[in-house]
Amino acid sequence: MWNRFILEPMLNLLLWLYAHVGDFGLAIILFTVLIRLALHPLMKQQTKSQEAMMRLQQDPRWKEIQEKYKNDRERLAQEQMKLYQELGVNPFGSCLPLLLQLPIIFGLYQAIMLALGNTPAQLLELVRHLYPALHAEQLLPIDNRFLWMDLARPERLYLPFLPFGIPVLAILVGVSTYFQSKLMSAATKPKDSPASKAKGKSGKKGRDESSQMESMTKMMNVYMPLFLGYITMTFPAGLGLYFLVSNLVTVFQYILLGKIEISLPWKKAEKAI
Amino acid sequence: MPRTHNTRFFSFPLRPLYGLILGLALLGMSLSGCRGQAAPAWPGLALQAERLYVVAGAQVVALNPDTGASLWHFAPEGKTFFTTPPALLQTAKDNALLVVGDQQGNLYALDPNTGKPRWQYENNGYPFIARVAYAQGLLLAPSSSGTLYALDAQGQVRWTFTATAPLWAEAVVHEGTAYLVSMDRHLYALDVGTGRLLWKENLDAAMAHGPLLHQGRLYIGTYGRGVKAFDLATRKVLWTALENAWVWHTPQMGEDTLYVGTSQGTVAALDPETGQVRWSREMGAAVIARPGWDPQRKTLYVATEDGGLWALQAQDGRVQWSRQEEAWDKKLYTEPLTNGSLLFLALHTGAEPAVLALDPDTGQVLWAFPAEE
Repeated sequence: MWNRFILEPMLNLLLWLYAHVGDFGLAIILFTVLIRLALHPLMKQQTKSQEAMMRLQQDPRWKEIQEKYKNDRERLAQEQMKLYQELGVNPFGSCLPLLLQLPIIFGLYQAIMLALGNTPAQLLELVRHLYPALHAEQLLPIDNRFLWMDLARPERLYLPFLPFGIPVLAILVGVSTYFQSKLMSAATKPKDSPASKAKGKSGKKGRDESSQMESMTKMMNVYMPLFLGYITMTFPAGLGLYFLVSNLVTVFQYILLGKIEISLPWKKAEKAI
Repeated sequence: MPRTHNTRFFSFPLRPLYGLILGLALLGMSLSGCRGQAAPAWPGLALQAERLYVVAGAQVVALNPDTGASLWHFAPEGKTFFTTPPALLQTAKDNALLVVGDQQGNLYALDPNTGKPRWQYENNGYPFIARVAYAQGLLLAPSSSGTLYALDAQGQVRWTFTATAPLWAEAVVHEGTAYLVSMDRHLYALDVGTGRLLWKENLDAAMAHGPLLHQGRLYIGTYGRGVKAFDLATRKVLWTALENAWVWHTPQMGEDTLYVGTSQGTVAALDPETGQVRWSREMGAAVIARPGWDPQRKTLYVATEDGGLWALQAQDGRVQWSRQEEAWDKKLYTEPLTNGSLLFLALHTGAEPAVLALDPDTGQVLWAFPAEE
């Protein structure tokens, strides 16, 4: 089921792109961009729901019921549901698009890894998943070279004056993940409403929750770049290329959604005029 | 009313930490669990009078062929996966080496009597896939980087040759020339002494398994382009048989017939002169392993990927016996070997070595390694 509906269509699309562009690195880039753009409506929906949820959490009524029913979970849930309905917020609105995207992202990752097999045993596995129309016998061998990288192996850039290889891709993935996380957390951060600035018990509780969220975000902003950088250093470079392109596309998607403002020099000039 | 246990458990500062750990664990699980790649290699067998050598996963074991008792065991330190079949090379009159290569690009030369390493050669990290060949005092080790390494018996590089795509196929040597097929669709002829390229021919097919050399001809199984016979004297393809077939092994030569299996599930007997099909048989599952040949019984042993083993009469393909052991629950990718009195079958476990010894006349299991198999 997974193979038929997720993995195989994606794998065949990836290799179809390779057959047409003749470069596996470019095929991975195009493939990642296409899949991420196809998921754009889901991402848009997810972002909208996140914002709605954050606005709701800044609502004084939300804080009031939190405080009022803090010892009665059942009543609290009922009141929260009422407020959701009143404000037209779906509490699962941000989870569902994310859940729908996950299998596709896993499939994309799996397709890239399968296509990068570098032994006959792995090639047999790959060939089994290809559609006859793709004519696997014409595609082989898949040329894994892209720029200085062998996409089937962990990437290092060797310079003649250095005794070791530099993991350029891992650094790029780490840095881009860090900036992407920073941009995203800034873009989805709720603007302080007057209510949230209000003093008192409910305001304190709201600030506690907010500081927990911020603390978690900060930790993720540090650990995720390190984690993905480490994965890129140890896994085939094709996967790192996917991480990098994916990060850049996500930033582009946030720009498209108007969540990140970029100040271009000519726009500044227009404003000045 | 006190707060519930759950809210206390996830209270700050633990909650962010649990969220982070959970997130990373999920990501890690998805990355490791959905790697999308099969085990990097199939098991390999090599047989001599006193020992049966088995390579699988991270281990090389030598077994007593009569009893299945383990004689020695070699597992290098650190994470590895052996990717070549074992090569038993007689490097001098009283000296032999057992050579195996791994996924990290190491070649290990072992003492075949004790399993002790004699030397180790490390290339630039690309897996060795093909069985190492030996000619004119040189070990010929093709690498998936596309480089053929020629090493002396002490493990020192004498020369290298680089093709434009991975070299997964064993080199064969004839009259001072090494013949090498590549995934880049070419057949290369090299001077064994120097590594100098003598000529190359485009055969228009990716080739990952060594050619069979027989009477001045090379018989080559290809990916999606059937079997080709190449005449070394004229440097011409004589014939192509089973066009569009995917052949994942070196063709087998019987008395005067060439045998091949295909991943489409066919075994065919071909006339080596013309490529005409003498007989063929549908096996019901892919035949990835090279068919085994028993010259005494004039029997062909065909292992199918789904765990089936068939003893076929070489002359007409008639079934002598067959086994489909559900209990094995293992796939078969390795050529069955026989010493005349026993038939040896390596089971693909993905990690540990597993071998069965069968009665070649009936297919009855006589011993198993490990014993519980």
